[in-house]
Amino acid sequence: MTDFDSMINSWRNINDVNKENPEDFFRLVKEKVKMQQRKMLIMNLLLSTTFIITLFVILSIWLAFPERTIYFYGSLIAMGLSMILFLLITWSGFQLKKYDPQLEARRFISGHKRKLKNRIFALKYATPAFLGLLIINFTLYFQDVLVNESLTFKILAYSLTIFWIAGLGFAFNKNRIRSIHENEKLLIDFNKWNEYEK
Amino acid sequence: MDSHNSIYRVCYAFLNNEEDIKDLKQEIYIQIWKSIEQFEGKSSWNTFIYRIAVNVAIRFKGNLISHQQKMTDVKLEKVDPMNVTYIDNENVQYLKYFLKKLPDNERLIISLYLEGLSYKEIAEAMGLTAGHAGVKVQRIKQQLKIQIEKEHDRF
Repeated sequence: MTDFDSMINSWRNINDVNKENPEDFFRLVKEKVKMQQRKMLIMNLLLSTTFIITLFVILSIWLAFPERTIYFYGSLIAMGLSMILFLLITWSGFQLKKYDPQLEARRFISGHKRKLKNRIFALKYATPAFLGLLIINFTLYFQDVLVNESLTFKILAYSLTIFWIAGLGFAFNKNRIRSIHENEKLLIDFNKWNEYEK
Repeated sequence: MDSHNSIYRVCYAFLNNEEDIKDLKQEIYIQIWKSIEQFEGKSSWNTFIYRIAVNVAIRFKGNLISHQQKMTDVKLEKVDPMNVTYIDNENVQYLKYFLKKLPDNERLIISLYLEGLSYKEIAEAMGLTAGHAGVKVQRIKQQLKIQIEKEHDRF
């Protein structure tokens, strides 16, 4: 055996010198994860509050301009809907009720499965719907505000906006599809786990 | 694979201070926990864990450096001698001494090699091509062998 091989062997025999109790370590990790989940909850709540304030602003704009065209109000509705949808997508990735994987393994798994199903649904349908609503929103709004503009300007405004939103959708589509696959694979694994349990 | 000790060894190869090693290990476990949902099955579970370990280690050291620079303006390598992990084995001490001289990325590559990962697995964990990982490992091994021979010649 060469010196190098013997070094490798010695190296592989190093054991963790911190003789931590696995239970203590597991508890510490859980606490940190819980702290991060709390942070996520606060972020989501802040986002929701901002969106709710914006929805009130939309409502007050509606009330402040009583004699605008149907397109104007249509665009406000589309904007409100898209914001609500965005909030639903944000919350779909959050699991409100937490279960301890050690104490309540079955509930932990079913909670995760529910969350995964929500996320798959949000990624498959809600995200394209959100982009669709954004396009509708801008189209209706332009119908109202660009009524006196030249045809060239209208074409430019519509095409740039639609290309920009479609571009965004295209840029994130790969990630969206990958996330759907990841979530589906994990869901299959969780289902298998349930099968073993039976 | 003995995951716990293996992750410890990667941390041990990368950092010197025992408290930092402990913190890094915790961060790796937290990240593994959080990343379970992102496991795609494209690589083996082991490679997935090592990839997380590598990414967390790099980020951790970056934070450590900026934190230490902010607090004391002292370079990272100046560690408290009372707090350095001491493993009573000549081979391990020698290897650790050699590892300390390597740049961060090479230290991580060789630590994965020492864990028995193939070039392909090292490449996946480090975000390299298998060929590149192989060349790096061979070069580091070569350097180490030269050092060993030099030591032999001295005695």
